[in-house]
Amino acid sequence: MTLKHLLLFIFVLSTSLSIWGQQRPKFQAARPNELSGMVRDSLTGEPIANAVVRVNFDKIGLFTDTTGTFSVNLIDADYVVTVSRLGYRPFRIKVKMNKNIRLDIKLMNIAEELEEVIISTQAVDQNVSRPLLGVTQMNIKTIKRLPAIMGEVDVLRSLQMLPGVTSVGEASNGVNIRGGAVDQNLILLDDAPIFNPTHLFGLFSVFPPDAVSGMELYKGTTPARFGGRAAAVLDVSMSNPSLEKFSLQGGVSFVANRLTAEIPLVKGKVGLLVTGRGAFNDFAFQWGPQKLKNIRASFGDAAAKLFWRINTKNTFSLSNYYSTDFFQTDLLGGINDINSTSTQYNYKTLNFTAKWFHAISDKLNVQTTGVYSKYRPRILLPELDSDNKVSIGSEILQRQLKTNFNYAPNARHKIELGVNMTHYQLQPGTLNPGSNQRVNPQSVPTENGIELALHAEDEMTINAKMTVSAGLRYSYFMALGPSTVRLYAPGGPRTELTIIDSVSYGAGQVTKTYGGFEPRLGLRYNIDEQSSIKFGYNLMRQYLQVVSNTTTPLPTSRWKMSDAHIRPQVSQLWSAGYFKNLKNNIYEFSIEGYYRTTQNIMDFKPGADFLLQKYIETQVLQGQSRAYGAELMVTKKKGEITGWVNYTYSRVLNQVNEGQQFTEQINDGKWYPANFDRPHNVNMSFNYSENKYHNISLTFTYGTGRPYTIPNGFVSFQGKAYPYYAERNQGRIKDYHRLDFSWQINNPNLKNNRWTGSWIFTVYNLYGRKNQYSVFMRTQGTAYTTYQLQIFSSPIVSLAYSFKFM
Amino acid sequence: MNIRPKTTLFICLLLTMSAFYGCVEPYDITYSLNANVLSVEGFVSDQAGTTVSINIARNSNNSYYSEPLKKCVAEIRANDGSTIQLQEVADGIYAAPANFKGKIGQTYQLTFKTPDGKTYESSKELLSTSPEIKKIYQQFDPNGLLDNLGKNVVSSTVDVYLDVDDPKETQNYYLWRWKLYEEQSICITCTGGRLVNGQCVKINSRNPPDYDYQCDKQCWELIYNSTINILDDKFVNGRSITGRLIGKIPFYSPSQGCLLEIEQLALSPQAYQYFQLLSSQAQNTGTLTDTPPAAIIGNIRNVADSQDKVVGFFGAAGTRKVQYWINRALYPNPLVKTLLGRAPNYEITSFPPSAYPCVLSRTRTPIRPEGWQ
Repeated sequence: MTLKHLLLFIFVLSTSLSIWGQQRPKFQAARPNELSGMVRDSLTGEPIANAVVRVNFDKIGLFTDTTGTFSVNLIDADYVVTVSRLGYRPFRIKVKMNKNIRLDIKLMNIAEELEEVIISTQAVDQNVSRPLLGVTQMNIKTIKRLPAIMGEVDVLRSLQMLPGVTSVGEASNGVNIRGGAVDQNLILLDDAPIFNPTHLFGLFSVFPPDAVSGMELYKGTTPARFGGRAAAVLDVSMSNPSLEKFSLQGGVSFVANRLTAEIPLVKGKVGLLVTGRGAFNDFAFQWGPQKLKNIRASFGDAAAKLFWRINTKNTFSLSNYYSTDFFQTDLLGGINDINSTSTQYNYKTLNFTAKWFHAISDKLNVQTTGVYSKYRPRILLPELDSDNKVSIGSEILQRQLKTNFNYAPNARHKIELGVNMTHYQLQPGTLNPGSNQRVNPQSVPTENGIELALHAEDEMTINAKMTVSAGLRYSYFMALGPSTVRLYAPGGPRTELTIIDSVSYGAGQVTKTYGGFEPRLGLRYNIDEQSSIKFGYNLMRQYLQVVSNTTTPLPTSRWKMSDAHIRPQVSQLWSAGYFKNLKNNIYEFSIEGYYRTTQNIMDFKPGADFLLQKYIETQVLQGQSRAYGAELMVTKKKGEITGWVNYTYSRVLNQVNEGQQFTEQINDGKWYPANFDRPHNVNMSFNYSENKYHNISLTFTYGTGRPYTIPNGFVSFQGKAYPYYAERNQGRIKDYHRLDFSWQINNPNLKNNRWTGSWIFTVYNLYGRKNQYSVFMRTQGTAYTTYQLQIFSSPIVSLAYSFKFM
Repeated sequence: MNIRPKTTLFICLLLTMSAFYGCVEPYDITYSLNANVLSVEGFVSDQAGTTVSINIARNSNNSYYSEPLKKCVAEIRANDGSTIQLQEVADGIYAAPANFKGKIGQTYQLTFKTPDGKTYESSKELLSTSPEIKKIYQQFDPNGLLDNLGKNVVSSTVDVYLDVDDPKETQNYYLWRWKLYEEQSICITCTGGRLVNGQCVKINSRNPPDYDYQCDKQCWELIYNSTINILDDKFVNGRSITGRLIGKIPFYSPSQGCLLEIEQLALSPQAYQYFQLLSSQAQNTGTLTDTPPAAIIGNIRNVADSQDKVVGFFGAAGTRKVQYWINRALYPNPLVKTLLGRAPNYEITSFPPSAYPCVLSRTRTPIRPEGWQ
């Protein structure tokens, strides 16, 4: 059996199904009966004229008259009758004609439908009226409908269907938002930061799908309460458990199994949500082809949330999140200086969030949050003929306390004040040889830092047409000892050879401070009831960043706090947009433009090595980045077919020029495209749900290939050719495109049991596009060959089952 | 069409698994190469035979070649004030006097002036001692050599390992390289022709044969390591480095032994960094954790123009040299890949069969190597 056969089978199956659907009635009896009916608006009861009535999907239908009635003579048989009218949800019925039949049909006006948030570039409750720009909400229902790779519902992959959100390709460890690097996104799960957002090196995102209630993506105006990252905020919230009713939901897919329970512990007072997901099916690889034998991949995540409604004025919640990953493949590079049989990655996240909400009055409330977050990646190197593994690990510990006051004195003002303190502790690297006698234990000194922030924001309604959100944040960062700060000869590169002195700082001593104001401004002007224009300005500072010399940061990439040599990244974003709702809010149209500059972006010196490096400033260079783009989006929010189409034009260019010498510049100090600079992007998502039992989704994505560096020549040493690279990122890999399909069958037995199940059939990369992940070169002797690395290059078919027990 | 559910499930499972596996294929792309860069390489060591080669790598469209840079004036300066003049012994190859050996603890700097008047210099490199090689040993790997895509076995190999004790007091950076002497019986192949009076002459035929001719006397093929083998002792400082793989030597013959000359160089940190960069550009590619490409600029610079880029490195390295005889007869039934890559096709029409001289070059020698058994 080959894949072609399988596809053929699917094709034949779908064709025969559609032929079956169009089967003509057989002439069994001569005497026709009359089918008649009246079509009315479900809400007003008004008759609907000019509605199209079709029998058995015939191309030609008949129209209802001004009184909304129709009639047709049909011979005895089974028929499918559809009634449709623009602006109304179509009506379908199966009738058996053996007598005269009269139908009373009520069509539902789409414009009057309660809209379900599919996706919205504006907050739905306030429609065009909110002053924030570039805010996208995505409902977990929408996310669950999108075709998911191997049936695993995925927040990050869904995000990439939005304008302005891209990635470097398959298996990228995070997303790039409006020209920002992966580590410039603040990703929060119930207020706790997620340092590594993906499982298995970018295959799946880490958010437990059944426990997520929704997410907000701030890629334009960021509220002043958020800080610490330069580009965007992805705020994912976990559902509060039901306080009334026990429920259970879960699922099984080829990859992972999951289970979520909501348990009211004290009815009406205390509830608990527990969720867990695990993927431990990698044992199957050992039966696979030789190439797959060395692959091991497993992951798990678990979350719990306790919600306590103390009284009408106080609530308390405690949430916890845990995630673990284990990954081994020959695609991971090894560590040159340690002998090992393979390379394994193992990384873990452990987060806690405690939140106390207290309503002082109707107009004033206070929210206090404490966060504990720990991320611990490890590289494991198993030894030959031994159970021992040499491990190289790092750790980030972030503890945070914040209080927010929300005050709404009248309908015209919504004021927020807050204070925030964050302590970072970073263990950049330890090497533990275990029982290996040939390797020395190593440790890089721990980094400590404190970030303090104050913020104030007021959302003001100036008049009926104008709303302004004005916020100001002040952040202050202190890099703390114990540490040794080197001094390098000024005006030259920072290397081992240019050290002129070094200063030792004791525990808690401040070695360097940074800080400044971060204004946030959003402005909305309503042109009319259906359209508005918006402007935004943002400044954000980032004191903690990833140091990575690979195309996408690895889960094991090292994080680095700002210090005496590494300056914080400062990003400014200007944006403007036009928004319009069309046809009674069925359609939403938006166009947004932005320009962003970032100071002190980090890039690496040629040949840089960060592993267990005590003085990272000798390996990196800092420069600037500029990004600009335009995003167009049309969304259809209601009806049988919903979805969106968007196009984005965007550029990201970097410049690194610290000095005159070759080692202090990248690309001779000239501007060059960033690794994730992909100018043209098109995303389309269509969702067809005829009724609540079937749901069919198609998504298509296209993007310009990402840049890579192609050689300007070859040099031969010792009879072997080596590529010579003079310019950075001047070539591009092939354009990326992909079509995904999913078919969701909900509650197939159509009964209203407490137990409802649904099947999800997914095909990822439906037409098997062989997308390039990387292009690289190997030389043999004086000859060279160029190769391409493709991952997910054939359709990936999967079937998953989900259930709910209420 | 009939399809059993079990088969479908199995296919789906396979597809799911294959997702984790990347697929590497050749990619047809035409480059427009345009770089013309000066490339320099050489080492001063505590052994005789210091040479420096100076070339210009010329690149145009899809091809490149190395053009020796002749008539340079080159010298090596030591920090004790002495200078060693280099003589051009072959095109673009500049050698120190035969009796010159570097001294441990000295720094050395290469300077040279090109015929068009540009002056270049290297950084000063410290010559440090290389620890003694403790032990060399071998292991048989029946499936040692795979083809370019890593799919099929091309040849069995003898894998050569070494042990060395790393000194505790110093930071050490190692480079290992080797030269392999293989007995060569065929000294020329006339592609589509035959040998007439020491010259290959084309045969007028639709499918002319390729004839091989034996050497006129005993001849050795010289094969060099093709990968860069370096080690930083940061993880192993002061400990014994055991089982370091030096080379996988293919079975060019089923039982005839061969001589391996192993060199261990003590690099400076800068030299190590350069060779690491060089190796990452050519070796560690195709993985998800690849290091993006960077210019292979070493420690040579144009004195007057900082924008003039020179690739390569001039280093100083204490060197240990060991001859190691590989006995292939120990291993039964190896998979053999001959030096020719196919069975020889001798021309039998002429008698006695013509022979071709064994010409001394970088890859061939008629001089019996020391230690040949």
